[in-house]
Amino acid sequence: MHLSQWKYVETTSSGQPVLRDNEQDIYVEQVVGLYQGKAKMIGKQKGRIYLTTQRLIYMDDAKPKEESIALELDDITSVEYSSKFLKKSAKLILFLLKPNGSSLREDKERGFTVNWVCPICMMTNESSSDLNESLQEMPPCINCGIRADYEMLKDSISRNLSDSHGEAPNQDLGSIECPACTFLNNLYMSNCEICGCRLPTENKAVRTVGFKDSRIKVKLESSDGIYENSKSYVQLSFRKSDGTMLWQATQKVLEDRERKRNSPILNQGVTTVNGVSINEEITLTEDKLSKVGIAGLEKAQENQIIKNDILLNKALTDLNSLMNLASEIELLYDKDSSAKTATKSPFLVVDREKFLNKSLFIDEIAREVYDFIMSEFKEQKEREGVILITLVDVYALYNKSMRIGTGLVSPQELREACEKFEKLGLRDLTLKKLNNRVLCVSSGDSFDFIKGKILKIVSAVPGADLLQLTQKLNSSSSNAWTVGIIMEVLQNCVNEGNLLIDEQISGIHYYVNCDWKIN
Amino acid sequence: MTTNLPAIYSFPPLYTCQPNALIREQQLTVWCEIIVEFAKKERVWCITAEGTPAKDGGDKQSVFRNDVIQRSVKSTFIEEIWHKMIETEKALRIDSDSNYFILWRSLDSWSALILQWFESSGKLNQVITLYELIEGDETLGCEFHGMDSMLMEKCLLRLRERGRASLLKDQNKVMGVKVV
Repeated sequence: MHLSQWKYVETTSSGQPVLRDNEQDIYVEQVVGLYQGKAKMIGKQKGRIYLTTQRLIYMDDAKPKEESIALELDDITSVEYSSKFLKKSAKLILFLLKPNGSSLREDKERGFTVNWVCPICMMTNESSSDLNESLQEMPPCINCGIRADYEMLKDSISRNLSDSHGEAPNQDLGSIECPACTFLNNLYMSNCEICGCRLPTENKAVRTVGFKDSRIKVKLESSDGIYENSKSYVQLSFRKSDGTMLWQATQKVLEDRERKRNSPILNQGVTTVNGVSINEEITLTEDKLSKVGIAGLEKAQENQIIKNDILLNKALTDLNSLMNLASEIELLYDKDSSAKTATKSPFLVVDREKFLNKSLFIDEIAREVYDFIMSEFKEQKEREGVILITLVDVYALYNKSMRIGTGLVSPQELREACEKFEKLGLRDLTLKKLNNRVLCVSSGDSFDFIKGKILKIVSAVPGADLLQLTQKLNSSSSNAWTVGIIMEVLQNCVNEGNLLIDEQISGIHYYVNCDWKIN
Repeated sequence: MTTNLPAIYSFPPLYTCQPNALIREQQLTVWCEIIVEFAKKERVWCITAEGTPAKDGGDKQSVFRNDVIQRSVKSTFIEEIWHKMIETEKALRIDSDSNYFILWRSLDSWSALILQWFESSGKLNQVITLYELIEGDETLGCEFHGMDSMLMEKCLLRLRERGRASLLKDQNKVMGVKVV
């Protein structure tokens, strides 16, 4: 039985989490194992923890697709850190919020109606409790009064989510309004589809009824020691590092979220609404019985000072709110312009500073590059079935997309990253050396594929030159095959004797070698 | 000219030195065949290094140029072709100038042919001048009719080495031959 707080997380093919809109990653911790309560979670003992602005995501190193799992930061009430002691590795304990409302079982009874068809009189019955094999006695049919066998009516059972108490259908039941953008979201969404904002949890009890995400696989080594009424918790065990960085980062994020939640969403930094000042007006009632002499003068002086103070204060608040407004507009402008360029899902920002050492950083870059190539050349892969790009092109394209947090990736780093593809289990792409000189990222036997294609074109058009070949190859699509690749393939063909060259001032023309066989 | 030569003569890559060594070897062989074929058909005994027949003036077309497909062989590659020609004894370099004799028959084969003529026409033990042998009416049907005199000399030298002929010289120049 797994905790209901575990959430399924979408992963990319290279084993990185797919982030939501407005979600940003903050820190990545390597080599972490998961515990639910006191028990080890089988299959989740070596992976990375991504701390984002909304979630804590566990990405398994070996099977990212199946074993990865996430926790919403909103579900975490507090964190506690226990340091390394003898053989016990450092752990971060996350205390979780109890799932809202009453226990699941009650919800089930309230939220469910079960329809079944009597096998004798064909009457459609409705019962409020769930029917299953373990039930001792099936409910009797309301028409004929006979208790049917479960085996006979199991096909006809259908579960409805409708309220069995016959209340008028509540609009909230079908959709949940986002508190930030008022979009009506589906019942089962936990975050707003439009803005990614966390949806309110009042209706969560209803929403979780009968809904258990089958994509989450949790197996425990032993009993987790969490009981119905006790506080549930999850532990992250740091196998390599001491984990203090993640601890501090998590704590900070949680604090920030708490602060944000408590601050009013609307009318931030406003001093007046419709001309009515929000701040309490400080009114100084002039003392009618004005004092005389030195005391009177002192009093007047005091009053004057207070008045000046108020005036200055007001002026400064106005100035401050103006500045706030300006910075907000600036922020809005930035967001708007960046939103136009990033039409796809938000990218993970890989930042050198988030990694303890270089090899971990390279690992992450490798995943990034893999994903990048796969998405960038998806069209070509679908049509041709293969990908072949020179490393130089990859370098240029990748850096052009500017996804590294601090600066660009260096050629050396890119090469190291590409060499790591196989080690990381990213098998679709490999780093190949063409003609012993040009490094290429290729999938499968792409080289033979393009070679065959070129030979076919040349035999159809004897004397074709590089330009013609490039045009023919890319006639169906725009620049799927780069000139660099085609040149290397031609070079290889000539060296192997498949093609003959005819060198002219206008360029090199290629012919298929039919007369002079080698071997 | 191209009509008399094999079809590969109009294949553009033939005129470019192929980078693949194995292919280049075959390419050179093809060139040797072409030159020999050309010389045999045109009855050209001597060709300049540029590929034009040495005699009959300069109006003749070079074998290394094909105006029909507008291709010509680069001079470095021509050198390689000549090198191959000499290596396979299809050509003989003339020391006095940079021309080449094209041997569509080897020197031994030529000398045997000449000897055969002497025997069949009953000219044994007679002095025959070189001019008679090359331009005379009696050799009109023979393959060696019209042969370059220097080449004829080399053939006759072969015969002398075998002890079948004695050469008559005048001013250090072979004028006649007596075959025994």
